[in-house]
Amino acid sequence: MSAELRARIRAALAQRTGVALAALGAEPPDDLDAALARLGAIAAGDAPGAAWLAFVAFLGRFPERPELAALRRELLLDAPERAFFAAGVRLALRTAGAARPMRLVSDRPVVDVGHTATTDHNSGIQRVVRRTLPHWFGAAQDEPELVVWTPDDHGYRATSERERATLLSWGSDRTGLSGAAPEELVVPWRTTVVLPEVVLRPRAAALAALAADSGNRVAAIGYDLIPLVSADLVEPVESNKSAEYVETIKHADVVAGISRSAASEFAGLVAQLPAQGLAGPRVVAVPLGEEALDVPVDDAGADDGAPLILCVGSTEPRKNQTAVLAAASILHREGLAFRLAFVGGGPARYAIPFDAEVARLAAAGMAVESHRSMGDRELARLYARARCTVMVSLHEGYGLPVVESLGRGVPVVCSEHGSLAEIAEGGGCLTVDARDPLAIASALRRMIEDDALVAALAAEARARPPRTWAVYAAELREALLGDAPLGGGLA
Amino acid sequence: MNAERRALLAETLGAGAGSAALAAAIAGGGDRGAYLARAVLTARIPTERQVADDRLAFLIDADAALAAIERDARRAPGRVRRMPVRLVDGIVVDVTDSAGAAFTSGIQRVSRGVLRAWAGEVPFTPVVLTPAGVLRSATPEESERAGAPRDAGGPATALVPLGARLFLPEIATAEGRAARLAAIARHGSVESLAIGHDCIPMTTAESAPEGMPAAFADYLAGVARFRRIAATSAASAAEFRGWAAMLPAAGLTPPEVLRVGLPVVPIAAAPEPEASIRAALRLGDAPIVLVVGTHEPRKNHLAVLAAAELAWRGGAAFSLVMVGARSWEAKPFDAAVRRAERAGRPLVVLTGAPDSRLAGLYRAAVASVFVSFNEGFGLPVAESLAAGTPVITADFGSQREIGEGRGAILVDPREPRAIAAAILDVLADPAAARARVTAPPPRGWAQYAAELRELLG
Repeated sequence: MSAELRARIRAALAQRTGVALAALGAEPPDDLDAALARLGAIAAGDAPGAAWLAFVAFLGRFPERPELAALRRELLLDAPERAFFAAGVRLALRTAGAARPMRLVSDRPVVDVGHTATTDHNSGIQRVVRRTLPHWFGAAQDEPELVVWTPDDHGYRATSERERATLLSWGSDRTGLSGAAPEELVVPWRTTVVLPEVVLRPRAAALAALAADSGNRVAAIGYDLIPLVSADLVEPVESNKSAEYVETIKHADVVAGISRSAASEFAGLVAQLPAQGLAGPRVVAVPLGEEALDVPVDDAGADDGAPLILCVGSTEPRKNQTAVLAAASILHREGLAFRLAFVGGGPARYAIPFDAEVARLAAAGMAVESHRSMGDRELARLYARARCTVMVSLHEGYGLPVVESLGRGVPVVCSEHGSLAEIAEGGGCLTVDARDPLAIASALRRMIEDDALVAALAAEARARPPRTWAVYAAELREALLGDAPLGGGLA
Repeated sequence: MNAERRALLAETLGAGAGSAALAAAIAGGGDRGAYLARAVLTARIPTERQVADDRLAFLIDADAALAAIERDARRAPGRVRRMPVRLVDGIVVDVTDSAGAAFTSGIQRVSRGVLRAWAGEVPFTPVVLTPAGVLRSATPEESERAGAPRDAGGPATALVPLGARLFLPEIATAEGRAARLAAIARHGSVESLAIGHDCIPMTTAESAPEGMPAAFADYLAGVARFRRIAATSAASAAEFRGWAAMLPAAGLTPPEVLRVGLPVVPIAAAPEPEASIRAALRLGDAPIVLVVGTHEPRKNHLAVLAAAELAWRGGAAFSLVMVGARSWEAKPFDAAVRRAERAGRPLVVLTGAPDSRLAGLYRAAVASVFVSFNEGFGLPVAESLAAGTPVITADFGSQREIGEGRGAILVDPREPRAIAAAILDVLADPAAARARVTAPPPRGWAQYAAELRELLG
């Protein structure tokens, strides 16, 4: 290790220790060893978050819960010098990650956009975050502090210009924007940390400690707990991830479910927590915005063929497309004329057999097709021609394709339970028991045969009251930050 | 094709045995038809998802769907192909784990306790679900290991429950097992009951081994299709009710969750005399503080060792005896034990003890410490109080439920100083601490087993 790096690490340790002591209301001594000893003594005490902050100062990274418990035990049993040693401080001081100074943020909420600000993907959660957070900036409101994770996942850092634009100005030209960010840990202290994304490893363990032990308030969007509730419908890796998500969520202060149904899952989790001595977060439902993607339809084209039924979504057991196929085959045998189009991706192990079945039925004379990749414009044309769409998913946190269809004035056949039933309450949908293929067939039959019904549902769809992302963003801010004491720190 | 199986299926569905007639009868039989078709023809219980997939396949093309099942039947290993198949009703008990394992976990102790209490009173069929999905009667040896009478076991027949009363006393986490039990509960049973031990891998994943949460979530998705869950404590009932409240989001009708508290009985063996234990473990004369629990992070032994060290430094004289099998992530525990040993602390770690010694230790101890982060029941709390020995335990969940008002000392398990203070308090006046102890009301296996039997209708 170069002498230069060693000096930088030592300087950073001194800076962090000084910042932590000041935050804890102690006078930082000039001598580093004395400062470490004083911080250790405070960390061994009862001040909320003191041990967490001391760990961040000592090691230059956010702790996981077992590490933090180990440091506290060491501080109880040993002089701080030995405790630091046992906690790995000496080791940490040999890595470049320990050379970051830190900056505390206490006067505004800190928003963790670690994934959305650093990826060019734009589906699901990223769309929610990108449509929502821009509304938290500008106008007469205090701007939150946006943070992402350091490359070594040691903790938060500030965003670069480009990351900020990736989050706040999606779709704009980002070339020429700087990707540089200050080499400095951003440490929330006695403020609210907002988690608008799903918490994933390797950050989940550090976030669990932040939620449980840092003294900060943690406020999260609650997407769903599907992999824990419907493990039979997802891959095991998803269930394991969801269990890790719970490790953070159970220590949060407030969770805003993306639908009443999603909120009911988090409320169920909260009801489980007294068994482990936790009160759990306050859970509220703040349903997502409903604006459809604004894709212009250049030419819907004259279409006088048989009624088109559209089914959008990735092919997987949870989405239940095979039930749609079975229902359609019943109607085909009855002699009904219609066309059925599936659009969406999906893992090969489900997509390949599904497409084979579609091909078999098509060869047998049924008008059915499956599109695995389709651009937004082409999909918009299909929506414009569709008689109805169908989404009989077995379990959803929200159900964007239903909203998308209704936003275009196209009626929907959807599940009569969960978040889809909730969306259907606003009009434009026929709901069915998604586990009953005969019921799905009946609903599709009505859609094909009953012009008046389709017209009435389409009118209902167009008459749905708008729910803009601006409204969602404002309600979310109120739910997550509304009663958060900021600026003055926690009492 | 196996004509006997086909005849059995046709008879059960009230159809002709010809392919077209049989396929039509299955297609018309809904989910139950699909369940019976695959279970009878392949001698394997389908998973709930397989039932749903088969049903759709029968709606799309019944003849092709029947041909596909018969193809799967032909591809099975010879042993499965040749197995006789018969329908079974009455009480069917899945004893897969306790029939196979020689060792005893808490779960298996419960399962065996119930079946021993049923023996001679309640007729039931103990069954084993093989990894391949064959539900076969337990052999006489397996039956005995599971706590059932030898003669409850039977010859190697593939069973297909129909109109049965399904009972699952274990936690079924082996791949596919819960999903097959779900199919039995939904399509082959008139009643179904699972003992709900806890939801810890779901709610406390940080204390579960890697991969366990997914296996446990599979188990929950299976028991989601049961009619009833008998939770072992109020804390465990709250965990299962919270989970059950999530199920309508998936369009499922949740099982009814009832609290059926586990038996609280003293350890059966005669306690080993204190003098004999002290001599065997070289404990000297100091008071004994006892810790019972496997060496895994959830049991929080690191905080107990830190607390003991604080108490020793505070001048307290006591021997710490820790009894528990090694589990997972035991390295930090080993390191802490070595450190205490280097410091010359009077510490004895036993990875196992016969019941007589355990009973003797409970009786000889001045106090026991059990400060777990989450427990479905917390047997060591009950065992300590039943022996008249004060227990220092967590101030929440089942530990509080069992200990509160009975002389247990409730502490925050994340606070070594609080645990240390409680140890020092007991040592300061052991007689007073012991005088505050009242044993939990005795509750025998017969009563517990009878309550479960009642829930099976």
